[in-house]
Amino acid sequence: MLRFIGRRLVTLVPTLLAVLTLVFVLVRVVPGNPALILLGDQATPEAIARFYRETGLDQPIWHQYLSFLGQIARGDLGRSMINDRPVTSAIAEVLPYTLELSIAGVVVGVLLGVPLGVVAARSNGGWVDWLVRIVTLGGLSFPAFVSAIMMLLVFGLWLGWFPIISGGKPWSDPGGRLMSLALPAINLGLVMMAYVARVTRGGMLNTLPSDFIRTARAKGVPMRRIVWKHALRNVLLAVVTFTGLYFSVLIGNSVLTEIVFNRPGLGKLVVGALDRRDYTLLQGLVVTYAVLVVVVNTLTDLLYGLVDPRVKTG
Amino acid sequence: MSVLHIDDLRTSLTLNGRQHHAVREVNFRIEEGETVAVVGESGCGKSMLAMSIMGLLPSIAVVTDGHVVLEGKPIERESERQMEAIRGARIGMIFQEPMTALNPVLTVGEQIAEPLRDHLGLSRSEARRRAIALMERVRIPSAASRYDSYPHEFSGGMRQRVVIALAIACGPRLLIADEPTTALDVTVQRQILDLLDMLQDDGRMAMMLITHNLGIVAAHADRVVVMYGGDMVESAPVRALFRNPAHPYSRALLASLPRVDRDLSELASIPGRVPPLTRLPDGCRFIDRCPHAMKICQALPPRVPVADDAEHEVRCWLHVEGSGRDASAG
Repeated sequence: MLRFIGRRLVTLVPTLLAVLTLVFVLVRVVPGNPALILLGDQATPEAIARFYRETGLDQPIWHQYLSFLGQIARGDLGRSMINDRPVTSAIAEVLPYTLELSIAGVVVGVLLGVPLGVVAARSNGGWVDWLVRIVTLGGLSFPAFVSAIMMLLVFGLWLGWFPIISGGKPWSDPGGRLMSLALPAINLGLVMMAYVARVTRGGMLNTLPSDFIRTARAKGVPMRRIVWKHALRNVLLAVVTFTGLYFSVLIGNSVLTEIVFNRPGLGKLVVGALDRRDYTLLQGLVVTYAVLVVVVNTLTDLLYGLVDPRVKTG
Repeated sequence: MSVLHIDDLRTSLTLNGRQHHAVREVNFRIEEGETVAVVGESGCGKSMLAMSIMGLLPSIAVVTDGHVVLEGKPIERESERQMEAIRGARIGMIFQEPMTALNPVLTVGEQIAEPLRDHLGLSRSEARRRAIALMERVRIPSAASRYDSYPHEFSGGMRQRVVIALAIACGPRLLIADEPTTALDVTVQRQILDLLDMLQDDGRMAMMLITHNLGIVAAHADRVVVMYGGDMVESAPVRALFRNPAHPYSRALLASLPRVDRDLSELASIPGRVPPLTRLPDGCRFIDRCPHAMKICQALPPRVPVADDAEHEVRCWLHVEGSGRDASAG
């Protein structure tokens, strides 16, 4: 297992390097002169030259590339072009909010989606199956911001069960923090729940007619345990794969949820940076997202090795 | 008392709203320590018969008539819960495909220990000890260290040994082996069959061996039930069947066996094929392929003894006194 983990971690390095190179190239092929954008059309040649010197853009391209990598290796993503704040601290400030929201969303999606899918597969074609299909179809087709507003209205305003403004509560008050996390996480997790339910249902329908299920029945294992242990353990492989892939989507999707629930987070930071053409902040955010996705993929791989005994030897 | 008595069993499938008999009036017994082979081509109802005994029929199939009597008690109408207590405890079953018969994400030890815990109520550590003993009994080398291995770390033959171990874990009175060696290569086949013989002698277990391989029948069975199209066409002690097959289908089946002392340039085969379930004739189901077919064969033939041997029964009009002549005259 340790060797397996080590191997996965080593492959992480070239992946990250490729991502960083891509970001570096992208920023440089985007049309438009950064000096003119930043200093305005009326900038004097001297001002432009000074800008080039200060940002290192007058250096040869390989020099720029190496110093870019060097900076990132030191955890330095530069300073915001708008307010001169270090990008790293701007991101570090909101990253926990995005992470906790995404993780909570995944937890909601998996914890609701898996049982729903199993129950649907068990009643294949029956009324429970239809009910689950309707619920999941709703989850997939209902725009997230509409459900967010409705949830705020019903559970926040009318029933008053959850705070309307979420975030801001420190972890020293775990109850408050969790309460303020609940609605956004459920909102984000509902769509994922729908997908997970479908993946689980399909996997169960494929697995239940297997020979090894027949073997389990032939030795007298009760149906309940056949479904929830023998079959589900096999279906979990698909669920883990899907969750890993979907996690990246979830981090992206969180923008709308953050805006409606007025939470700080990476999504809101991206929108703000785009709005104000804050290229350094944007570049730092792209790097952050890329690293997150790569890390999540690696975690998925590791989890896969835990769930499927055949992976380790492969 | 017989371990198993199949008493005029009928199992029907409902396809497109119509009922079809997949198993029709099958009737035989298996005594303690005895091996009864059930032979026939694919689609003859062998597996459907096994699933009727196990209570594991697909939802479109149901036992409509007759009884499955296990140690004197009919079990064909038992509830699912009661069948769960019987399966694995009093009836064990092994299957054709060892490669897919085991759960890929559970350790083999866990899969063998599970029925021990379910049926015998053993503790985790006790079940583990017993499972390792079982693995040794089915000749899995270094059993203790392989308890925590997964099925993909085993060869086909070793997996079949695991399947056998979990089937016999609770000391069943009856073992149903559904083509246990068909998917294995010949040397491994031999080992597995010898293993089954040995296990049976240990515990006086009754065995129902489903196969299409007459060589296996000759070497490992005491009696044979020949099935065709869901009918039991003949049942006899092995020697009687090989020496004096009574049903035209049994004769054709034996004639199709290649023999080393005969010219092998031409392999005998039975003309035609098994009709599909939806187009089975009402009378004798072999009628379309039978060289001796008569008018009367359109009616279901009775079971009659062959040569006054009560152990040897055939379901064929040819052996009913006078019927052949009557039919050709009329």
